[in-house]
Order: sequence, then structure tokens, then C-alpha cells
Amino acid sequence: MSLAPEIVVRALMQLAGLPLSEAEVAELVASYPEHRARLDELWTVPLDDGDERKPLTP
Amino acid sequence: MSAVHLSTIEDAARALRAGRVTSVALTEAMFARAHDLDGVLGTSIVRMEAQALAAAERADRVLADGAGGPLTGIPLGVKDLLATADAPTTAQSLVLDQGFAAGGEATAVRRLRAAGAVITAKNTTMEHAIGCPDPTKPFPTPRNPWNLAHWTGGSSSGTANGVAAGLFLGGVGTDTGGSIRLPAAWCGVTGLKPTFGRVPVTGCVPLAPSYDTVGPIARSARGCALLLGVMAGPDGHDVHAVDLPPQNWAAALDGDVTGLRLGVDTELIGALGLAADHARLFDAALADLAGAGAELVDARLPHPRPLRTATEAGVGAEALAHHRNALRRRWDDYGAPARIAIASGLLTTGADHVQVERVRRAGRRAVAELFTRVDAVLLPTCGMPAPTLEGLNWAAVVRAMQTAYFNAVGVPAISVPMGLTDDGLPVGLQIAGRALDEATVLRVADAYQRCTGHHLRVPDLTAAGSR
Repeated sequence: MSLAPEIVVRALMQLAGLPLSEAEVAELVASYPEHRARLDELWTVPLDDGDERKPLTP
Repeated sequence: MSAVHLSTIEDAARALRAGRVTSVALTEAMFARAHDLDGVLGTSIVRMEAQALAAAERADRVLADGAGGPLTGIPLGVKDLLATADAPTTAQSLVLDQGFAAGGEATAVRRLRAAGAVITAKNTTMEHAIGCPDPTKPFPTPRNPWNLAHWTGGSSSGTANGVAAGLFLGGVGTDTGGSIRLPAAWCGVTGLKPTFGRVPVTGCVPLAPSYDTVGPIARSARGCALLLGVMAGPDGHDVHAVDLPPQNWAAALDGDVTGLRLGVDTELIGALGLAADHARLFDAALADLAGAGAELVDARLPHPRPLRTATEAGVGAEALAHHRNALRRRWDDYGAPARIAIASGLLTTGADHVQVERVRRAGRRAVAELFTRVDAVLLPTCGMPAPTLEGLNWAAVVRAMQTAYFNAVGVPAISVPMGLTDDGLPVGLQIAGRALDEATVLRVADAYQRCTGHHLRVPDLTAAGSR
């Protein structure tokens, strides 16, 4: 698990073709776990937003 | 001329109309102050002195005829994210197309000129309105007029510090996650983020199009109301613009907040860990509003952390979409703070971004429900005063900001000065209201300013070279 943030960050930056310095990679790697946890928290918000398809009623 | 250049827009307008000062004299005085201070404060990227003085002469002729409105002859500054016909737009970036909107004007600027305002300067921002200062790039570093070792906050930095220092009486900023309210709070002036879409963003360099908002900065809430009344309303170009005409928000300000229910989220505010002096100022602000007749009620902001995350992640993703190709080509031309902030958008997946939008919709409904029970909510604009430029910790600033929540749901929010900390640094009281109800937000802010004098305090810049 401790390697995961570095793998994710390096892969995403490389795929996008962005030439980050090692210091910049390290900055994003350090912040990634909290960022990911906060994104995951978005799935705990009750939505009830009509996005889910409801059956048609006559 | 006394100190008209350090007064409010409304007081200066009265002085102009009464003939106690001319727009030319006022504009010249403010340029003289800019000559003394701009190099120290890092307020402007360019000043348009000849054009401004010509506009001031025209304004004086209008005023001499007994015509014009409350902004006729008033010197204003514009964040260098908005196009003006008389100067290039840089977004404080080496990357932005040098011909951005060349010869054209942002709708907000065009409307202010039509109302007789005198546009004096294009002001510093953070690069593309994101991140923090980068002293390695060839742009001024904005400094806090209350303590030059401290930052202004961003990204409408120069517009806020210029109003505080008396280089112009008001101006235009943009707010995507707090970029009007944070520098307003830290520079001791008033800044309003209107409802999303209230002021067209036409002619404004984009950062995150579903969050970007154009709004006013001035010494007083009434000054902000005057500016908003001119800038608001659809222009036929901005697809997000709300299809409602502007109101005369200033005329409705009568200081009466009797019976208004103002929500305070004591749980959220308690978790900010405010320093004792900052907490005392906030408590005093609550007492002042209660004394003015408002009813304070406990109220929980729904989904506080997810909605902040929605703005932070959503802005990153939208900014990345706008900048990705340029980042690949010109990485080194971007300043380090901006490029890393934008690149971090890659860490938000496509599904995350869809969820951001779903949470924003849920948030809008929940916040609308909250505003059936309260008329506005009160909280500190930021959990800390301005930090020093040296050793600036951007992540700590973002954690302390209490502004991004309201960008996620698009409602109006204003920051008004609520006094100085023990170290002499201003902090802000944020007042947020229901969508399209700038009237109540401004009413509460104006009532607060009628019973306090915090917004009229001016930093002593004698040591920095002011005459």
C-alpha cells in the first residue's frame, strides 16, 4: 500500500506527458492518500438526485 | 482633497457630485499614491494612466452637467484576468495567448466604463487564478498592506490590496474557490462572490467554468452593491449567465436586519481551531449583529467536507481540461505553484468527477432547504490571518479557507472586515445567503458595517513610502 501513491502519481503524470520534477512528484505523492480519501468520502453523501433511472409509470 | 482616496465609493461619489473634488484630481491623487506604493505592494501589472485621466475628464464633464450615476468618475482597478481594450491581459502568466481578447472588453469592464467608472489598472493575481505567488516569474508579488512580510491571499490579490491601500476605490475580481473573499478578508476590505452566473464571465480568462464567478471588491458592502448593480445581468454571450436583470441593491440597504435569522454552525466553527484573538473577533461580530436586531440560530451546513472537496477536486479537473495541452508543451513556462495545482487534477478520475457533480446537485438541494430556515449563515472567511510570504504553506491555507463550500453550491457570499488580530492583521466575517439573494447578504453586511468601523480602517503605509 505504501508504494501505491507513488505508482499512481507517476503513472498518471507520465500518461499525460507532464514532466514533473522529482520534488513535484514527491509533493503529489505525499498529498495523494488524503486526496483519495476525500474523493472516496463523496460516495457517502446521500444523493436522491434523480440520476438513478426510475421505472416509468403510466 | 482630504482623504477621499481612502474613503468609500459612496462617499467619493458624494464628494464628486458636490464638487468638493473632481474625478481628475481624485484619479491623479490615486496615481500619485500608486507611484509611491505599487512597487512595494505589487498591486498592478499595468496602469493605464493616460486613458484613465481622459476618462476622468469625460466624467467631470458629465458631473458638471448634473448627470451621471454613482460610479461616474470613480477610479477602479481590474484583476488581470479580465480583458480591457486599453491594455493586454496576462492572467499573470507567460503561457496565456498574448492576444487574448485583444481589443475587446470583458462584459463587467464594459458595463463599468459605460456607467462612467475610471479604469486605472490591471491588477496582480495568482497565475491563471490558482496557487500562490511564484517569485521566479517576471510578475510582481502582491504584499499585504497591513504587514508587507505577509501575503495578500489570492487570487484577486492586487485588487484587494489596492483598495486597502487607496490606489483605487474599488474593483473587479474573480472567485472560483474563494479568490475574492480570501484577499478581501486578509487585506481588510469587502469582497462579494455573487451567485454563480449573476455577472457574465465573458472576456474573463477561464479557470474552472462551472465555478468561475466575477464580483466586486470595495471598502464597503454598499460599494460592492453599487458595482454589482452595474455588472450583473445576462449579456447574450455567457451561457451560464442567470437570465435576470440587475437590481438596485444599494438603494435597498437601510440597515434593518430586525428579525432576520442568521445561522451559525457552532460545530464547524469549533473545529476550525481559531486562535483566541480571532475567535473573540468572530464572537464580537455575532454580538454586533444580534445587537442590530438579527436572531442568531444554530444551523448545520450540510455536507461541509464533501462540498469543499467537490470544489477543490472539481476545479482541479476543470482547470486541467483547459490547460492540459499547454502544460505538455510549456511546463517550464508555468510557475511551479500553478502547474502543480493544475496537474493535481489528474488525480481525480472520470468517475470521481461525475460524483463531484452529483454531490454538488445534492448539496444545492440541501443548502436550499437550510435557507428555508435561516436567511443567511455566518462564519469566518478563513481560519487564520494572512501568513508570511516566506515559508508560505499553500496546503495549510487551503485547509483554513472556508470559502470553497459556497462555490460548490453557487450561492452568494461576502467577506467583510471584522477587525484586527493582536498582530494587527485583518480577518473577515463571511456572510452567505440563498441563491440569487444577494440582497439579504448585502443587507446583513451593510448593517454590520453601520454598527462597526472595521471596514473604514486604513493601513499605515508611511514607512512603505506613502505621502
